[in-house]
Amino acid sequence: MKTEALKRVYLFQSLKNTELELILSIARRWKFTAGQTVFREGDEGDRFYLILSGEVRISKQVPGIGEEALAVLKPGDFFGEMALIDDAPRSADAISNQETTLLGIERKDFESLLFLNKDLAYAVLWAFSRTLCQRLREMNDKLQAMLAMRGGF
Amino acid sequence: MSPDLNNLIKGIYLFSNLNDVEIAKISAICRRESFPRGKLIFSEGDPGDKLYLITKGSVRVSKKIRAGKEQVLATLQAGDFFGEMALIDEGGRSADAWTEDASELISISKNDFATLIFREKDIATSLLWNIIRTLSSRLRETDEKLKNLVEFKIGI
Repeated sequence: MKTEALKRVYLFQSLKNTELELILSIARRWKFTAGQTVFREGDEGDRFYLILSGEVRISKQVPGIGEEALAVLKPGDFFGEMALIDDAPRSADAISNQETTLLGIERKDFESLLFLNKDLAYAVLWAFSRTLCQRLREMNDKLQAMLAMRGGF
Repeated sequence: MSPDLNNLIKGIYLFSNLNDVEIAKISAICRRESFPRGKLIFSEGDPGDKLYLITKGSVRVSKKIRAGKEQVLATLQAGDFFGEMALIDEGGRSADAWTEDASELISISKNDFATLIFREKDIATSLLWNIIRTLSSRLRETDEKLKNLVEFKIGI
């Protein structure tokens, strides 16, 4: 069941079952009660999370406005994947909405696993590169659109 | 190829984790290109078929906002690389690239790159990690720029 859940994550989509088992071997379960904080914006990020059951909301504290929810994530959804590749701080809060079980993967374990399994590394790192490229393209377009708008004032 | 080229390649962040044997394999698929100052290397929307490494000079990466106006995304120096997205996906060039000074570049074609990293998994892992780290820091920089713009608008 858990390998099925992992397969829905774009980073792991092209992996064989034996490779998914390897990813699972470095994953750990984390349980949270309703309203409990998984992490806060600004915390050091070193773990990727996949939701096995329950619900997590991703939000930001906006000065003068309060909490602004960015997304509500359900079983099969995942978040914090950037923590697998760099140690930049978390860019938003993650809070469990109800009793929630998460599957967590730590960056150092992920790095060691990929170092020891080159075929696995090749598949996962390609998927990661493609996703980042796509996000960067989208963001550059957004930036361009916003600058064009500002210029119109 | 020449030991000279190997040394130039070693100085590029993308290849910083490679050993001498691996560097020689990269060197074998490299081509040198010289550009005068103020020359357009590629335009936004062009099909992307090469990665460029800067060994001398500097390159400005920018987007056209409207006629006669551009937004600079980055100014890159010797040791930096650009155009890496062309090696990864099928999208065209996402910005313009201009030389700021007379520049010496090394280019690697998409096909040669794909063939090399498919055959050499150790090289692939090392390069992909460096590409990912570079993309991720570019992503964060762009995100910051966007945030500043949004705050600027709210502040009006």
